[in-house]
Amino acid sequence: MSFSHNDSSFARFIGSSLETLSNEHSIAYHLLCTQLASCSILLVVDGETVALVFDGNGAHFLSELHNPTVRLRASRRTILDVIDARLTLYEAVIADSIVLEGNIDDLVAFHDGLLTYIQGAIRCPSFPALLDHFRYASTS
Amino acid sequence: MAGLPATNGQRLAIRKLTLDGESQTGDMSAYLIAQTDHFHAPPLLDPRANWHKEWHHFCIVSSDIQVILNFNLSGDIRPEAPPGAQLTRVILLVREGCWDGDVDSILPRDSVFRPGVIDLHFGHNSVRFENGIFKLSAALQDRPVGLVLQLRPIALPMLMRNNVPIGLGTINWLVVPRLVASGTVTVGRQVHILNEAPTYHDHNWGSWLWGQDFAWEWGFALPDHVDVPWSLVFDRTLNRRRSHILESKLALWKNSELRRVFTQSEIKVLPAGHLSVTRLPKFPRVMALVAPEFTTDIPRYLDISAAAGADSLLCHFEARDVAQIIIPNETDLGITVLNEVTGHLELEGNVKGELVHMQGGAIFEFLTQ
Repeated sequence: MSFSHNDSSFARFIGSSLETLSNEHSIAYHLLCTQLASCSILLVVDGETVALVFDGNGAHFLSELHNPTVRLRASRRTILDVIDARLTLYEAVIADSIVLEGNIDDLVAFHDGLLTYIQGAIRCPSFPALLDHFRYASTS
Repeated sequence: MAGLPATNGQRLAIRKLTLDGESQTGDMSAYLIAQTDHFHAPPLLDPRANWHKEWHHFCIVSSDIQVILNFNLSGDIRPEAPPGAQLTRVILLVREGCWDGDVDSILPRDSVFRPGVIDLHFGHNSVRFENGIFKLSAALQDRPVGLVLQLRPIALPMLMRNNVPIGLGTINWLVVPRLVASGTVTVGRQVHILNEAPTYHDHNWGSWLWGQDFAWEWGFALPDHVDVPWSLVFDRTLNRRRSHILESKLALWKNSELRRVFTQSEIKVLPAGHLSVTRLPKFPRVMALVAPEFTTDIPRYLDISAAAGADSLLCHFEARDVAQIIIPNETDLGITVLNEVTGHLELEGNVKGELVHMQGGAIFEFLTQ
């Protein structure tokens, strides 16, 4: 999957961030792929859908996904609220600002993978610029 | 050899002027600080140059606001970082009922310090030492928090840790236990005007990696009233599980003079209870995602007793609030948590035939996993 430079879609943010993670913190990237190898994930953010599967070779974007094992629905504003600690992840889920669907094992794997993604992201030199771009695209 | 230890000249100057009981003056304090408190460039040929860490730390404990300001330099150990690359950050936390603040990253090209001189410019933030006075200026990038302060030392510095092993490296720790701060601290639309507010300063430098096998607990206490002569600094380093004490020290100053230092087995520490808070602010804020807990194992009370010969001290610290600075480990994907705990300390004892009594504001820091 490729993204144009000016693409402000959520798919572009996810694609760029995974590419950055792969380039700048390969340990976290490979751990993430291992943790999510059993999952097919559908992210729905402000109506935009992003479908992902993972295997030992990395993350793969799908054009469509009918029966994801994990489905997450949220808004960009909620994602930024969680990143900026105006909401905790727990509060966002309890308030249905982030809706997660899946069986418990898949949700646990997704949670582990999300933590690994964040642990890697905070160690990548290029992530602040990616986040700035996402923030700008989400608020402008 | 890891780290840049204090030089023999620095050690001798401090020992001579703080332990020999010579007359103390502001000039001496200014001289010692100017000689010892400047930043050290890591040796580029040292294979552990990128382990280098160094910071200036300032804490203000006035009655209506507490401030923690840290000018922080850290070697960049990320694989793509060039040898000697450094990350620069300014940490500014304020507590006026609740906590605000942030950890600002500063571009390397905007970070300047002059070796041998206390003159730091991290972006628009600065620390200078001129005519015996620290001049601080700081303002956060994304939060409405800033300060412009002048700090006047009123106690002589002491080298609390001299190349002390931590993890696979070493740390040096220079304290200026007591200063008074004047100027302004701005939080949103609230301007706090400080007039000789009780203040603490230290300077750490050395080489280690976050996540290695160490922890520390340290704190200071300053009297509420300027005419009370006593001030106090406590420190101990431990293994990461905090099951084994590596080094302990408790130092007492009377006015400007270092009065007594207790070490190692002379010191007993007894924690009691756990601090309970309804909110647990974490900085940088994004780190709340990887450390979402609202609970800690910070003691509600900490009793520190020290005795040697005829001298004894008893410190009773009551923790009241906490904010966490969360650092990504450099050894794994875990984190290290610096718990910045504000509270109140009562001190009683007898040193060199003199009764000791003091109570006042205190900040303790507990390093946990």
